[in-house]
Amino acid sequence: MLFRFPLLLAATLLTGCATNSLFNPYPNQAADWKQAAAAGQPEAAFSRLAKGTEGGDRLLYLQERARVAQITDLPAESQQTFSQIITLYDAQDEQARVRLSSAGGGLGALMVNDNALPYRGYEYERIAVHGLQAMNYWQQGDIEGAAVEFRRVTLEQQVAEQRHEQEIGRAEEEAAGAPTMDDFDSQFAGLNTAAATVRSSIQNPYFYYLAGVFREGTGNYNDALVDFKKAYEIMPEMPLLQADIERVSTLQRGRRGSDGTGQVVIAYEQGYIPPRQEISLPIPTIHGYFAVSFPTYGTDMVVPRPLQASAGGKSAQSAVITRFDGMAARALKEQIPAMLVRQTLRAAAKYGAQKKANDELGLLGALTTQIYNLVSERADLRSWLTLPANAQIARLTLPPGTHALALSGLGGSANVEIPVTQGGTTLVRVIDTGQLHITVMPVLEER
Amino acid sequence: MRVLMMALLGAALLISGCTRVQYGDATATETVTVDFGSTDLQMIASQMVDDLMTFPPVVQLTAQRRPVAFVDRVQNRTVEHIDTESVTDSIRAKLIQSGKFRFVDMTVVERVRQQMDFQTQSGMVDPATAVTMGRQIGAEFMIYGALTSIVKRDSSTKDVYYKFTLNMMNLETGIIEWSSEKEIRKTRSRSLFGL
Repeated sequence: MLFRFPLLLAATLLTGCATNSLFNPYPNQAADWKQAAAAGQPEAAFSRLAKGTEGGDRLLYLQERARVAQITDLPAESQQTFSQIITLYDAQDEQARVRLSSAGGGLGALMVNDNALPYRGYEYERIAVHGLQAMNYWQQGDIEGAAVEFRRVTLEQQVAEQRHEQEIGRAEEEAAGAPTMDDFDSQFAGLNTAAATVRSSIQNPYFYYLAGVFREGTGNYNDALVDFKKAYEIMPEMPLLQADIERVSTLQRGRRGSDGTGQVVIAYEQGYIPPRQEISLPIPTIHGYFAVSFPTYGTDMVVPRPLQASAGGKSAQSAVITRFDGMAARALKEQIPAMLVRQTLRAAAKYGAQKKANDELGLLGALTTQIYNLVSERADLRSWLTLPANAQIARLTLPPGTHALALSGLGGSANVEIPVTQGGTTLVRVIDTGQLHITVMPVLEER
Repeated sequence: MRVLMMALLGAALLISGCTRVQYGDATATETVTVDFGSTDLQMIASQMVDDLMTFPPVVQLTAQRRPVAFVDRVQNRTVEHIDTESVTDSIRAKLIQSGKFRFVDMTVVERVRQQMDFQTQSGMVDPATAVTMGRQIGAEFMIYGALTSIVKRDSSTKDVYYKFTLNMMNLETGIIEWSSEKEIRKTRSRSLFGL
């Protein structure tokens, strides 16, 4: 009798969450709206996402929705959804540090799996929310709004960096005694390689660069210089940055680069971030080894391919500035120690349930529990999947006037008319989902 | 067992209780979050106006006449989307109420022009009652400023510092006749336990 209750509870928990990722792995769900976004059908994607945006994982689904709206060139829609997300993240900051309701989720997660925990987002995702939101404001010509979001990007990166240092220390303390990542080197090979492509899971040079372009365009050379320097600190191998720093320093000293040309910056967001994969690891418990699922990234990462751009007899090739896939992998890698602790506990709990079933419930009960344990053991594969795999930047300096910009990348070729003004900055944003989605941002002129 | 049932029932009742609407004091201190709120706006507006009205040269200036000014804009340099126009609107309203200043408004120029065109060109308005073009009064002073913030946050506290700067410039001479700063600091600590 006493044992039947937890089973019932577990069953209720499971069916109660049927809309989320407990049994339908998240990457499978995401394939639908990724495809719809690439095909330029926002309505199809939105209707697929509608259910999720009201559930416990609404943060995740809203992030997907906002990005889909952005890819399909609906900046107002995207802006509104991103503001909802920002409210949710801000509410997380306000929450009490030890919460009754999340303890409930934790209990469910202990018996079922990490998918039962409400999605809380990753630092790199939160930063991307503000960075992408800035682009929405910019695209709609709201310069002050964009400036606010770019400042928010800087603030969130600072806060995240600081929190991060504390948390890593704490996780290491808690993980004492549990198996460590070193014990599963070969299984995590893909994750380790991917994580090694970036230096930080938080600092995002792409958004620093965009902020730099924006601030240079609006005449805030001090801020622009700081942004470009920050980007350089994280991504010194990016070839454009040195010239950018030099140019802005000259402007800052009050010397005009008045050679009568305008800057054209091409921001290229390539592909989709790869979904997580599931691996099974033998976790040692006091009762022996227990197979437990873990999320990881495969070895088949998208290799960045440059975009070719040419206009007015000049041409340029884009260079990688941020590997979002690497950042996601690094963020996951930093979570693995805590996950190993949780999974060891979970393995023990499940082993306990199994043993009890064997002893008390006879063959049928034991079989049910066995099946339950197998089925409920799913890795947490949730992450924001409509983010680009990587971001690249190309620059052209052109005389004022209207130019035909020819672009050619992984997702095909396109021609687009761009305005260039003397001393102005024209940002052309290219999102490549297998198709090129091109937006020409309003030209920035110093005010 | 029965106690438990009753408790559950009680909880259910609490949850399903109907919502209630209340009127509150518009000037009551608001401390829902540390974000820029109504109290900050009111504090800034009233302190700025007091400051301006008591500044000796301004007192002297407005003793005999009511100078004409216009509010340019207050730059939002914070990390929040704040409607700074609402702050300047409050300041302007208070200054007009004081009877010391008169204002012209740049934000409605386009609509004024439309109305004037209608009066003079549509042929529907009696020319005797139509307003004459080119008789508006030029502003003598420009009021402008900036709102900046510094935010510090860790896992348990959030500290926000706002600084509001407002200047009044004599348009003819370019001299800043008056300038003032207002600072606001708010700190929030997260509770350890909660729902």
